[in-house]
Amino acid sequence: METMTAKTSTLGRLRRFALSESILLLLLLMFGGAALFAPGFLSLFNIKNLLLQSVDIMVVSVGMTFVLLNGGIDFSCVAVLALGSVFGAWTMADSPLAHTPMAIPAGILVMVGIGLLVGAINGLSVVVLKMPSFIATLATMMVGSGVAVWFASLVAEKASIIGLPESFFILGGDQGILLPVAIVLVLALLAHWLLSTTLFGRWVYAVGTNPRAAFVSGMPVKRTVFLLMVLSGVFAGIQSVLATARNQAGIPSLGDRVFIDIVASIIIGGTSVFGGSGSVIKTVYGVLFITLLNNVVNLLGIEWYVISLIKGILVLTAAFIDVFSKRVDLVQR
Amino acid sequence: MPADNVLTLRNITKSFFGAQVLHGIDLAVRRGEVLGLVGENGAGKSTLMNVLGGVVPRDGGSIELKGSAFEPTSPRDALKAGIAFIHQELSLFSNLTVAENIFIDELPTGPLWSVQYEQMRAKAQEYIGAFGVEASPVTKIGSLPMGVRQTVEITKAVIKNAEIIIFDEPTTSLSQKEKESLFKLIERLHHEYGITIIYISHILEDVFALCDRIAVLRDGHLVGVDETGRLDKPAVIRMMVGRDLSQVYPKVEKTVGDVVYEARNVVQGRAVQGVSLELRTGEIVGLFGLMGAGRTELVRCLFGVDRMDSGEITFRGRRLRSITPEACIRQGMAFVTEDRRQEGLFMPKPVKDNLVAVGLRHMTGLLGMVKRPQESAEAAKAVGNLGIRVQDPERQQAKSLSGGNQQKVVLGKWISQQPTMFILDEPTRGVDVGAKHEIYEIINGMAKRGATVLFVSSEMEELMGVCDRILVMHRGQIIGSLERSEYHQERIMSLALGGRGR
Amino acid sequence: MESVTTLPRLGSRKLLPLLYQYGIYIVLGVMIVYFSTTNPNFLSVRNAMIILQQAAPIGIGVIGMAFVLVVAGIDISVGQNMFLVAVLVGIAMRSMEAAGYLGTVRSFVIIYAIALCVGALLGIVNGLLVARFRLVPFIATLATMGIARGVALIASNSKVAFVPKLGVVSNGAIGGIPYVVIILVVLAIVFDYVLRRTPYGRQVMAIGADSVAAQKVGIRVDRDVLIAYLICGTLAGLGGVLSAGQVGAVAVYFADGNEFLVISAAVLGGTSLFGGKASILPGALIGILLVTTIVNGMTMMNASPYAYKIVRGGIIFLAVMVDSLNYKGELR
Repeated sequence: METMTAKTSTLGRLRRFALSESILLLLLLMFGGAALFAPGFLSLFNIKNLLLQSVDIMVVSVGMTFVLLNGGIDFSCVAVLALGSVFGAWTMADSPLAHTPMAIPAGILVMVGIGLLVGAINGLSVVVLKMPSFIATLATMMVGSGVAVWFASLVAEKASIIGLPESFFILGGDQGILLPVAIVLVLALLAHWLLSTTLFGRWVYAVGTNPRAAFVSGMPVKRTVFLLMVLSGVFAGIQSVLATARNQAGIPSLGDRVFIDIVASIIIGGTSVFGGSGSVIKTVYGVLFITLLNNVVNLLGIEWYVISLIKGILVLTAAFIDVFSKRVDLVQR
Repeated sequence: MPADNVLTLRNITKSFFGAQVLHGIDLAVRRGEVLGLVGENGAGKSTLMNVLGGVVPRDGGSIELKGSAFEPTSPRDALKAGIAFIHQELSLFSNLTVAENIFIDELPTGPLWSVQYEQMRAKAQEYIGAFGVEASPVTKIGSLPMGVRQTVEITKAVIKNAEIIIFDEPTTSLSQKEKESLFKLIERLHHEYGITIIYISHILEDVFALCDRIAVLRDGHLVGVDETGRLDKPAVIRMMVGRDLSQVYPKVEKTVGDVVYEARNVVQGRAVQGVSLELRTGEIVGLFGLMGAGRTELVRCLFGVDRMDSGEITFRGRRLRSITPEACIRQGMAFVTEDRRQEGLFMPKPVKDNLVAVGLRHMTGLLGMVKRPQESAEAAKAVGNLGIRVQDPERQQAKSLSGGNQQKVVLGKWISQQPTMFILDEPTRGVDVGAKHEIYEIINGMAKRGATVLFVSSEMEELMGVCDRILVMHRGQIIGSLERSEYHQERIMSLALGGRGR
Repeated sequence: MESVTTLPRLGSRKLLPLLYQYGIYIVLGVMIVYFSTTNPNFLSVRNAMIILQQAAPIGIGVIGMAFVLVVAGIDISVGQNMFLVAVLVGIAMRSMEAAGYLGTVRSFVIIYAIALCVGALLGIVNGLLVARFRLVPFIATLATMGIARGVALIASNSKVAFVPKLGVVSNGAIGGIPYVVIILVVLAIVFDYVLRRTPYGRQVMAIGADSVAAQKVGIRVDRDVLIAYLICGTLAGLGGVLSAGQVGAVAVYFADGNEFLVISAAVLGGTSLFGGKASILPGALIGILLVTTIVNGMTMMNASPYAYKIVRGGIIFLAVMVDSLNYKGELR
């Protein structure tokens, strides 16, 4: 069998780069196009908005990337957003700890803790009960969002929980976008570091590519799958913190509309739904792309619902590319 | 006297990836006979039948079926022409009934497009009754034992007017009683229905009992065909293995030490029925057996890839409490699986990632970060030491390598851990001659350094060339052990077939 | 019934599937008892009719979903399918009203024809993506879900459409039995027949059990899978238009989340996510009945409507867990 010649020529390298980082190119193209054609795109106000909106789903998308790398999906992330928001807000506003210096740290702990809990439940369902991830996380999503709404109705007259300590809001961009953007950046870098440089990251890729070979090679498959589900939950919990700060209230319906944005970001970013290939950076580009798309559609005065259509088409295209690139590889062999 | 041949194969040749698997097979099958087809693993029996069944195209030669040329391009063609296959994996649907399974591709319909169950049931019942199937047509396949399911599959074939039925190792999952039922059934198919039967099996007693004639394949050649009455078991064995041992195997100077690995009474289902063995340092021990002997199941249990029902393993004086790949690796063991595509390699990943898969744990530094320079160095070292032909191990995917090189990558990932115990399951399968030789040298090198090697293979010759000792498995047990001085092809084969070789 | 399983032994291996098979009736019974104790109005004929009426449109979707699930697929676009159908029907009705013939038999025929066609179209698209282009069913239907929603929002300008005229069918009754219930039962009978007594039904069961063997045996797997998605889409469309009539107004969140209701009901009724096992009669009916009963009962209890989501989530978790355990036990 002939071995494939390595493409060490510059043209080859360029081509490979273009293929693998196509999302980046797409992103730059869209940015350029927007700058040229969308009125008010380059205004400071708009750029600020853009950044804040990308912050809205960046953390949770990065977290869910780990699950997709394993060939699974995590529906429950949106429920974690809601649950965390509601319980965290209550902790900070109405619980015995409210109005104490412990209020904010406790609230954050609660929100992240909920993410951890939900992630652990998902992990156990997949690893121990051997349920397919999409059902396990679907069930936790349903239960979770139900609990969120129920709890909110229990403790608040209106639909959301208000009265959070004001200093909490700086996490949401109250005093300038620098803090939330910085937090998100750090988290993304952390996730990227975890995935691309640590042993755990290698295990995630290996298990996602071929769990049987990983098992025979002595990698802890069950542990890895469990941990990556927990990770997804924790990141969703952190996102809940940021979102609650931004909205300045505990909202039980948080995350209702963003699931498709999250999944679209990851898939369009280039992570394969079959598992084994993708990266945090790709998801970051994907999130920026989706946010940009939302923003541009807005600025151009296109009705916001056209975007649903566009997103659907983009996801489909990305899925096709994913499938075909695998088929081509097989054929070449 | 010219026999009435229902099927004539002339000069059938077939190659896979440049290796010739069938060398001009000429075989005539007489109408209504029971023809036994025997040979070692890899002799070409399955390939020949696949050619006949339209599963793979032949490279050369011709097939004449019932007097006219037969050019099957798919299994459906073969079915339509009256050739039915009873494989080991039955094409039955466990959630449907017996009758539904039999007629699934041509369900009789009546008014309102409804399936004519009465009609189906009746027709199925005829045959079921005739064949003595212990099930009613309305029983779901899922609740039936293997033997009955097989009979249903046979019933399918007969109902579709098959004139030739090919059985491929049909008794591997059957109990003794079920086997007897099967034989009675075959007799009836033969006598009452006049169906021609080709019976592939390595259980010579059965072949002798059932078949009118026996054809022997060896290394893709038809070595002989004769009336059963004119043959005896030793003669058949001789035909199966009688080759000139011309291959030269690399020799090595080494010392065999003390017992370092002991397995006691390993049991797993029906595949492994109480196996015990002892292995020494520096020793290369071969494990030979035919299909269904349980070799792969055994070694998978030894490494913890599959769970054993019971058994004790002692390695380096310590009893292994939990037998999992992780634990075994920590103890210094290594395992090359039979199927490198599914379990040995990460095909779409670069060669480097594959080479460090096992050793990655030990290449980490602060906070669990992988030391990349060390990773690349280890990979490069393996590439050099094993002579892996790859242009860019950092980027080239494992799937782009040739079979031999792929196998070397698998070996490489384990060798870099310097294991003291190496289990290899068919390490030279699908590997070209040159690479095979290199792999033998690698194995020798490991043994020289004091490692223990358990070498599972279907190729008797290579085991005889490389191993210090050969264990022969048959039906889940180790039935014999031969030292180098006692190596004898027919003796080994005789043991593998279940006999008591001297 | 055509097939008969041999008598199960009372070891725990055989007890579990048995429990699963009849467990749902037990749960339903328990639920009914519980709700009637908390509210005397629960156990009235009138309330039963309300439950049935609410259940019916979604139940029709469950019937279709059974076919997709039985070939080990899934269709999460059914909710937006219903939405799209409702929107387009709303538009058609407006133009019919302008033209002056809204309310005639002809107008109703056109309306339902639109519903069925649009549903069918979506079903075919899904079927092609999965069977022909080999996309993962989840992703393929996720994409069509987004596209359907998008198209619907564009077409409706995200304005609410009022469709009271649909109530003639959706809310009407004959002899005290709502039309929608009759439609549901009729469709259940018809499609149960298709599943259990036609070659197509038997073949999709085979595909779900072992699609490779099915291919080998000569079954046209691709074609059959396509048809399964077609059935699912068409029935979802029908459910959509009937549901719209019950609600009376089609707003942006119409039928939101219905896909999970449909899938839950199907699994609760005995259809396996892993394929090869399905029950329309009585499974789909029991499933949707259970789900709707819970909603109704809790509303009567004045329980926060959110508690039902929790309970439902818990039930579907248990149902799928048993499904998973069952499946692994048998084949793997």
